[in-house]
Amino acid sequence: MSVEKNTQPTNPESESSGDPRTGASPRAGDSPRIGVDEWVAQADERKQARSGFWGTIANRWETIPVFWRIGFVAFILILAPIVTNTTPVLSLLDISNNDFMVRVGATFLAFSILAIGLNVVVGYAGLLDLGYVAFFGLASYGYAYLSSDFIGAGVHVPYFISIPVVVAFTALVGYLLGSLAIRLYGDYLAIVTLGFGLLFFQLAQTLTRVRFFWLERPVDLTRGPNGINNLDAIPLITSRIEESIAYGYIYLFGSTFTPTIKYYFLFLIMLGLVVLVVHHMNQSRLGRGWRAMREDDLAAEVMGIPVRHLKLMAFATGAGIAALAGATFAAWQGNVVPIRYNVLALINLYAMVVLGGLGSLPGVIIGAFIYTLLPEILRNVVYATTLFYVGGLIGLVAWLEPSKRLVMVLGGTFLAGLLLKFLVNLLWPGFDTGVAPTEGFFLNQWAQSWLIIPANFTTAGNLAIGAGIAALLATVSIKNWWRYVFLGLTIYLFGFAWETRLAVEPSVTRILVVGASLVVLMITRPQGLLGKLRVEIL
Amino acid sequence: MNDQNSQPKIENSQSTPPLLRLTDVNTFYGPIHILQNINLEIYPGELVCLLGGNASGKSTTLKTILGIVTPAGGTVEFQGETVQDQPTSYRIEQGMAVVPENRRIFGDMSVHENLLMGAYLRTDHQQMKQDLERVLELFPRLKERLKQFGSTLSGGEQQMLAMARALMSRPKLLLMDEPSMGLAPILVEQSFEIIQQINREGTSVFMVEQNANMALSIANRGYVLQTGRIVLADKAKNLLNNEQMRHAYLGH
Repeated sequence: MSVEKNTQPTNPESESSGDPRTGASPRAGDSPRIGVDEWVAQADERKQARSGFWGTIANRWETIPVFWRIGFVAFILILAPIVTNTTPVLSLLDISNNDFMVRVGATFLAFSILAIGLNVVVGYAGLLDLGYVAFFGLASYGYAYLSSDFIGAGVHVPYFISIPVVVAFTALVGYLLGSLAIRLYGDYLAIVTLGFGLLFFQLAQTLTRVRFFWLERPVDLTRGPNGINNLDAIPLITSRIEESIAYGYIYLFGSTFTPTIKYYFLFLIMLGLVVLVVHHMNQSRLGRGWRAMREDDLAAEVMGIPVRHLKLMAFATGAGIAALAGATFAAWQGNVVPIRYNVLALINLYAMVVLGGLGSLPGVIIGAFIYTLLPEILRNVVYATTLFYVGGLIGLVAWLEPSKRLVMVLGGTFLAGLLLKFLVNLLWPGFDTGVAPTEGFFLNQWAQSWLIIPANFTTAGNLAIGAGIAALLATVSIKNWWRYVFLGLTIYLFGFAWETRLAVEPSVTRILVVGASLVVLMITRPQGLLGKLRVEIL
Repeated sequence: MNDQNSQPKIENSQSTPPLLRLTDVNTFYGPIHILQNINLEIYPGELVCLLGGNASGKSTTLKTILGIVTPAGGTVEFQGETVQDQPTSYRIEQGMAVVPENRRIFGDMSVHENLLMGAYLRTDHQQMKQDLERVLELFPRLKERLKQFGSTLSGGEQQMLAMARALMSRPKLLLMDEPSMGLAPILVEQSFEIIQQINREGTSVFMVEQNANMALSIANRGYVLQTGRIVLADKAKNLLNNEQMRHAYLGH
């Protein structure tokens, strides 16, 4: 609430005066008013002064009203499976399996629901819950018991009863686990919840011969590592209606209807509801209580905030959301297997939440989007190559900003590469074969006409990876203009490494690229993509 | 005064029941006996200070009153009701409020949100708005910084925010843990003036302080705590003139 609203949104002076990144320049002849908070009064100006590549994009995006922003994202999410499942798009994307993109999309939606649930516990309430994935699993098994042939002659509770029951049960388990662990803080809480997570995983794998004293034969409770199969699918109201809608869908959009599309939209609706509920929770008194508690447990306690109750609420809400995703996920997959609920799944979820920014709803969704989509896209060499070059270019633009330096580095590297190739061909004919094993994609072809590719490119490529990393380190650590020389070298070496080694083995590269992008992202933005940087009070 | 039970009694002529009464309170941290037979009373409208050196148990007394630690023996009565088994949030609801040691404001939340946290248990929104206005009148500096994050405030402003936050619950008894800690002398004076003003408006104040001179100059009564026992209890004026007291704490 600035005391004096500044009515000069754009200051024409600040554009002409020197480096725009230094922020709003003080206006001439405007001495600081005593008693008025300048920092607050100039908030709008500072926002306007946000410049550079990302600043411009952020400013543009913020001028759009929130309703339209959400609508825009929802529109894309609704249209995506319809568009990607049409034949021309599928052939353009070079995908033979017409369900592939939709399946990735549905996975993304399911994982963003899970990540939002984890965000409630970790991001809002600040409880380091390492047993979260067990709630996901518990709900899946719960759904399996209620909707398959597993128990007796088969229990087939309809989904609109079984899912709420499973969600309520899992939330209750979350509440109970919370009340056991409520007195613990930080690391200790993490250990106890981790124990719960591991316990669940082990029990799911091993409870195959449980002897009850009133039964003669041991009972198989989980079918061990194989899991439970043939779960009931969630029909679109009835299977008859589903069929007719399927025909209408194909007729309307010229797109193939698959069950995956149904689950995609189911997850989308659930995501919308979960976002709505969690957003309102966070905006309410409850959310403020969570934030206060996360920051200073004791101070929150002496403010009269019922810390114990809020912690249990967070645990139960998180578990409930995980259960919603878990039960639906199990119905979609048609099976439950313990391996899906191991520690690796937990780490993936944490990566999504931290990547997107703890405590930020859109951030967490973007984190899930990147983390589920990136490895899938990288399976395809053409996509991976495109992503590599375009991503590298965006990275360069973000770092150097559209400037003379950027043009110099890119142009210099390009010309130096051409010159080098020319000289090598002149002095040592036959050394440069000019052929790398990657596919005939135009980016590859272009890169290979520029790079020197010796006959024994495997060894050279391996060396180039190491040399490229060294050059990158030099670029980052040197402060004078030599850094740009090393930057050019880095670009050249990584281009070479990509063409000769990385693009050849996509299964390895996939993981490397995901890992490298996580490392780079977390170094440049430790608070996550949309997270807020926390300031410690000293 | 070496005997545990020979705690000096205060001659108080007030006939009204005390707002807060601690009777024979014993508090332990594990095996360590911190508070030993503490008896103290705070009457409505009073400004009472608790003095004592380091590790004398001042903060523990406050924690016992608030219910962050549970006493092993003795009773804590607030407004005639025994509260030592009630959770902290219940006591806050009944009318206690605290300005914690080191301020402990919420750095990630705006000044406005910080103030709302003080009124977390209240549901009378109309009254809350009025109280917000009143508190901001008392601390005009905060009004300017309402949208700023707590962590961007200076130490003095944080102290103001902590006080304002405590006042947001409309307390009957305001507990303060070392309000002068880490403040410039002029700010100490300012905050003591504000404490007096709050007290004049009818809120009882119980203040834990190291700065004995300053505290006694504004307080009605004072208790002196030494290694977990109350060794002196008297009117503030008498304490200021007490020979032992002057020797030990006042430094002249």
